Amino acid sequence: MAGKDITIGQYLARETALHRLDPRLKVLAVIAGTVVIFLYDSGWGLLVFAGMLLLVLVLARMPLWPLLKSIRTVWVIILITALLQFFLTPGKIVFSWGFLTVTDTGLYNGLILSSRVVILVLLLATLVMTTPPLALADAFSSLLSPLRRLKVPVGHVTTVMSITLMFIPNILEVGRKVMRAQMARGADFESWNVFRRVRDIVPVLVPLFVKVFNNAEELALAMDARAYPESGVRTRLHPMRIGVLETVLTFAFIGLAVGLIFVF
Amino acid sequence: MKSAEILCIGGANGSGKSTLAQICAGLLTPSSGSVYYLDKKVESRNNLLELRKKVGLLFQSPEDQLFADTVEKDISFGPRNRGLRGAELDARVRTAASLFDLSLEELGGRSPFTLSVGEKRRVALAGVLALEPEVLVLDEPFIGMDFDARQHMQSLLGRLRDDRGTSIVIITHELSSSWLLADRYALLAGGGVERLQSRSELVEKERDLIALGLRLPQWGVLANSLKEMGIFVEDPADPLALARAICSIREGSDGR
Repeated sequence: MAGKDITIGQYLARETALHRLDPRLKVLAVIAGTVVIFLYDSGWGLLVFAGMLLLVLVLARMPLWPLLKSIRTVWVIILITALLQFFLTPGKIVFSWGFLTVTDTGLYNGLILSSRVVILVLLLATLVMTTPPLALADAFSSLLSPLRRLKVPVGHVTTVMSITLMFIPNILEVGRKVMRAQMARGADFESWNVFRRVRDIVPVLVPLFVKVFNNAEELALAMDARAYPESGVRTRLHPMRIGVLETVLTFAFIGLAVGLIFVF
Repeated sequence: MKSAEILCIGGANGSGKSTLAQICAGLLTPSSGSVYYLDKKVESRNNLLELRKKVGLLFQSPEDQLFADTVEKDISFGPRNRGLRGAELDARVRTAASLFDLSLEELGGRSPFTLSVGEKRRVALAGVLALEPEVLVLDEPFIGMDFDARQHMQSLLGRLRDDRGTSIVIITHELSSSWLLADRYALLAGGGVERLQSRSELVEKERDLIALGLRLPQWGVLANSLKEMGIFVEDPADPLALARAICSIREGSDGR
């Protein structure tokens, strides 16, 4: 049914090595991965990085299907990125049809850019699917804690972040419900007609935004009523501890990924 | 269900009422069991699409599904999706609006977001009615409405059944909201419905209702209390009958 395959932002409770890995290390690895994939000059760097990522996922016995489904969610972005590069980049013409021309540089750039988007989505999906939202927020809070000395409101930033992450599944559920409600009024989200599908997105987005903003306002008032912002320093019931082996392995992964910049 | 009847499906929170409503409207397929419409099994995707045309569904809190910039456009969304245009579309919208006491001259150009809860719900219902469904499924239609808006909605639904012969399913966790409106009742328990019951049968089985997490309306409880005192009330939903029964106690006690 419509909307059932949207998997972005949903934690997947499993027992894998990646799930057990300290969330701070996962965040660092994902940040490093996100930076390096845009620094590789050639496709070989991307290919080797993708191979490394796949190896980590397989070794950690991470189910691949939910990750691959997250790519399906953003296939339109990937397609548009590739097509824009194919048709708009100057170079040696390899194919032309009417006013449309595809160049060799366009083909190469299109493939590289769309591969980057695919790897980026995989990286982020791996992080979000293997880390509970609260653990993720705690990780950001811990990593950003040095900024407290510069009077940055780290506590508020991470609270906002954790609430946002926790509400993603809720927003998806509201979206699904609105879609079904509009389907009951004749909207067709399963049509092969792309224009009709795009047109029918508006009746989903407007009620969804209204609902999300209303919920946000209500939540803010409810938090206010319960004396937010709190004063004093928050302590943790379960303080996070990083193991030696997981640190070594994570930094080895990051080191290899960075090293590839100089190799390719 | 019979044609031109109001069937109330009651169940506690989490009993699957909203899921059942969406299955009835062909928006979800059941994980087990089958859906039949006019004795025809709904199997294929085409059957589902047909079912969606026959059954109109009003979701819980339908005001959350309004989106157009004017009331008139929101009501016309469904029929427009079904390909209606021009005078035919206009007539559909006007008829649906008038069925729910909505004046298009007054409200048609207004944003649906500026209306009261009761008005928003009537706009959403008009939007479903504009599709001219044979069966109307309403998921918790009275929730969040004040007394007057609820009374108004109840009388409109009664008119819809009596004047237009529309079959209506009301799904609720609060039986009192449709007590005087429904012709028969189905109670959800253990993922199914045992059998359809009349109002008086429900009153007789108050304990079964309590076991399902439901409660009789106060007049049903009163009728049962009177019964325990040896006073039988034929129609516990009739306030006059209840009043007479209470008066009979007074008459008995003071000799008048």
